[in-house]
Amino acid sequence: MARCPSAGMGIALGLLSAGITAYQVILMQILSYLQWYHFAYMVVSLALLGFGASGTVLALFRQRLTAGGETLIANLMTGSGIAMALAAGIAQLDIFRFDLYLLFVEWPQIFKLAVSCLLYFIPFFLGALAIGLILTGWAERAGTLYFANLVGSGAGGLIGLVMLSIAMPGQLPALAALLPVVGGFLASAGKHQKSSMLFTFGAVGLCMALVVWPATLVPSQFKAVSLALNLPDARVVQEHASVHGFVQVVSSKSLRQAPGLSLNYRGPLPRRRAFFVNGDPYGGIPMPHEGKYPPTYAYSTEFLGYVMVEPRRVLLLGAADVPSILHAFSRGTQRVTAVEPHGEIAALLRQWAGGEPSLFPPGDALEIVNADPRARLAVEKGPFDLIRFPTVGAFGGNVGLYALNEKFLMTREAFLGAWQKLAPNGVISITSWMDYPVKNPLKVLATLAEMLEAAGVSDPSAHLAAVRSWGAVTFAVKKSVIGPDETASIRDRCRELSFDPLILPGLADAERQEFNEMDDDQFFRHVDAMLPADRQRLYADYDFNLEPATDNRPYFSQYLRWTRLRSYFELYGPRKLPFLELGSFMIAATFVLLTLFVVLLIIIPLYRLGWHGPGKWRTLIYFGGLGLGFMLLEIVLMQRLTLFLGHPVRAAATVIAALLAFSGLGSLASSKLPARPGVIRRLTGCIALLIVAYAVATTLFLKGGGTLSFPLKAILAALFIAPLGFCLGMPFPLGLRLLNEQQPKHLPWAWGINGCFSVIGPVLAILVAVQAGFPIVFLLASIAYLIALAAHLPKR
Amino acid sequence: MRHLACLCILFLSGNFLPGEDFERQRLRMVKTQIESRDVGDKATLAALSQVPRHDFVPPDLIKYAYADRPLPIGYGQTISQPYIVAYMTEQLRLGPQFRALEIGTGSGYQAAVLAQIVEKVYTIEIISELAGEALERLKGPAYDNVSVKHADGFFGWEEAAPFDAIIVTAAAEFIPPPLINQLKDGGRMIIPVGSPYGLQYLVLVTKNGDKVKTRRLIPVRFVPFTRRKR
Repeated sequence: MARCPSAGMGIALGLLSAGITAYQVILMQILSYLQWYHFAYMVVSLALLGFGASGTVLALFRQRLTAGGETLIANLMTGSGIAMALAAGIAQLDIFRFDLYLLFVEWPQIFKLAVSCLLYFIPFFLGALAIGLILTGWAERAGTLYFANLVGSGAGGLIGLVMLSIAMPGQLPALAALLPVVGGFLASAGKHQKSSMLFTFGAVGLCMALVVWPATLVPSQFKAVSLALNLPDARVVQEHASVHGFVQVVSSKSLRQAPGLSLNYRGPLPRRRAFFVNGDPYGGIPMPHEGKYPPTYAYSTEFLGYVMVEPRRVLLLGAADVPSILHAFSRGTQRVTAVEPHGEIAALLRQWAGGEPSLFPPGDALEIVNADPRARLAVEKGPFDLIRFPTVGAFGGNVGLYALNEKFLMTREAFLGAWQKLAPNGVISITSWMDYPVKNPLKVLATLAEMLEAAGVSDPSAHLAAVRSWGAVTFAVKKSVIGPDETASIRDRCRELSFDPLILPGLADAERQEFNEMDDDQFFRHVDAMLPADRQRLYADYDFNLEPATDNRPYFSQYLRWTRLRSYFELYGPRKLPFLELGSFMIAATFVLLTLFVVLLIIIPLYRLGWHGPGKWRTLIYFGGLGLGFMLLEIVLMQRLTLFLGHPVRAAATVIAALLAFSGLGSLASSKLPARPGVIRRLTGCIALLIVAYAVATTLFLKGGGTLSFPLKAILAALFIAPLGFCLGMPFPLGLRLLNEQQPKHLPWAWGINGCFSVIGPVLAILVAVQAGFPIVFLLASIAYLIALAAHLPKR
Repeated sequence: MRHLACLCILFLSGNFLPGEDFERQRLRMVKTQIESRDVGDKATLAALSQVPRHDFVPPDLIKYAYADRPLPIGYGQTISQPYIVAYMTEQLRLGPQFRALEIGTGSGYQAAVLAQIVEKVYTIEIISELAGEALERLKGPAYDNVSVKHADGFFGWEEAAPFDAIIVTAAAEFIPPPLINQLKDGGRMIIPVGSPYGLQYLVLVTKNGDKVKTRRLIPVRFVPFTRRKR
């Protein structure tokens, strides 16, 4: 290759990097829509192994690939774009279309899964091969080129998010593909090779055509939106692109809404327009029945909060539940603040509320706020008479699909925050569907009990009430002691609706199953064990994790205890085992698969490089440590800053953009530093210490950002990330330059190792965060940089 | 080694022995999957022994027809695991003079089982394609006491009400009030809760005068979730 890359190569590298990151972002959403989030995570993680594989191929065929020069690099970029544009469409062909649920029934699904992974792997592999050729081909200019790579990747994250908010899922791959295709054009500019230019123009034409006539993406037949569309007259009446997930509004004469309805209700049931986000149910809007909204909302266990307090001011966290709004106003509430995190859904709710002014008192009685509920809770002044948390669990069971989603609203600290916003007689209310085995209601109760203890309440049982229907439990905690009048009202209403009191001062055992019997009394014994001090024993004995989520481990729906696997196996059998918590099993399976592939991809080049010889361990642990440490940090910073920035998507955008941009600047600055082991040692050591400092400093961000606007918060977060990001950008290019001087043959291998560990990093971060909490992820990142430091310790 | 290979083949074929006729498989299914899990109602066991389940599964899945699992039948729907069908049927305490209503015909298998036990079965399917297929399968003298309707199960079958038993095979997050109305005094209704591929529990609804009561059942009693004594 030429001594210096052509002028357009840096920009082309940036565009390619941007395209790859944008494609990664949009692929997550497309696959979440077609299947489920954790499946998307698995497929994208496996596809990202293209980075590791590119290093392996480069190490094996470096001479031949290098001979292709800049033309080959340009063609690889264009090829990556074409593969991006086509992969999703080809994977949707009948012969290749995969369905996660059918994986456990039809063996051909394994083949289809493998084809899907391969199709999504190709664009990453081709793109990473081009980046690898550039970085290893001009390693002496690694600082500048890595700068372009990092800044491009950071911009790609933002571009991906913008694309999600403007384009429909079918159009997204082709839009992202334009970036590497244009990159390919710039990389080939000046070469005037007719075939290469034709290839590029053909690719542009293909992408444009696929934007105008996108592939039809059909979600799994088992997804809620598919089931809804099977109903008579069902049709999609609205579709909205959104960074928070693709929104569909479905209308059908058979879609109705009355969750947990009392069996004593005999009136009409309202039809509804159902919302689906990425194909999953997300509430909806009831339609009036003969000009009125039937009061079904008053016939659920949600009545509990309203008989314990006069609800003048109500805060609804998660407002997609329109019946809750109607319920509050039917009880004479003067002001309802409904907080909805999804922007498009909030807009649909406002649109509905605007069309129904007669339902609410005049003025600003109903405020629908688009914000993260936990962040909003932090800035609300209160006091509120009633704070309603969103319903936990799903009626049909979600087979643990959301086990690994961070839920900052469901942590002990969040409930304590709500407690502090209550009026003197105020009530917190939360409903949970009964599940099997019982987990959700018990964890809700554990969280409330611990919250009351943390609030200094000496007798939590005097403040707690719960009622149970045939399928759900509603809990309510009152700031003041629950009085005999309230107890009597709760009992009366329970009898009217065929519900049973579950927790109530002075409750007799016989009252608990008057209308809704359980198979045995274990559930009641577990409920009783939650309130006194022997709760810890129940935590230890129960086969599932019932300990409340915290801000350091905000995984409310994570119940699996890996130490009880044998017990699960005996109780449920191997076939149902994955469905105890599909999310956790998918992530664990992803980690195991990735590890196997990574070992292979790292070992294979040794057949060419030789098993013995100096510097191999050094290369492995240095570039492995850097890849792992960087990604662990990126993930944990996103998770840590979510509360401060108010939404996971905002946190992801800010952290990716700031971290990569400042790392890029660090990479650029590293060009001025000598590539010497001593410099690298000092730098990685400083980074390891800095990470520990950041682990402590990020706790400041858990308090939320008060009333600051998002742009200001984003600037503050970026400034906070800047010093760490700047330092993180230096070790990789310095390492490449040093390696170029000492072991130039190892360069492609180093690139592959870094790519492999960068893919393992995010999966490991989630596994560790779920089991041990965010501080341990920081610690692991610090250790990863110390391992990188160890690679350059002087030999004795 | 040979034994290991045989075991692998058995596992991969979903407990299906190649060459074994369907009747033998069916009887084995009743013995190993149902009787062994404490379903003892003779009428239920006889019905499951008679109904050719393989006629109710998609052709490409016939080899799994008698396997201990639910199977997909298209449109995101499933034919329930044989044990769940048996358990739900037993819990309804059916008699020969009963009129039973099924909401969610699906493949028609549950209706076929009910038809062996009760006088008349009414079954409603909301997805027209499934209703059409079930209608075809349930033709013939063995099922002449079954009526299939393509309609919204929410409204039940007013003209044929009241029913001694109602079985809801695909439940919603509420129990439709018309179904409660159409349940005879002293009647029983059963609905499953949970993912068909995951862990389900059943809710039994009984009506005595104006009083409607429920009982949460755990069909997977053979593997009860109990806290071990320590």
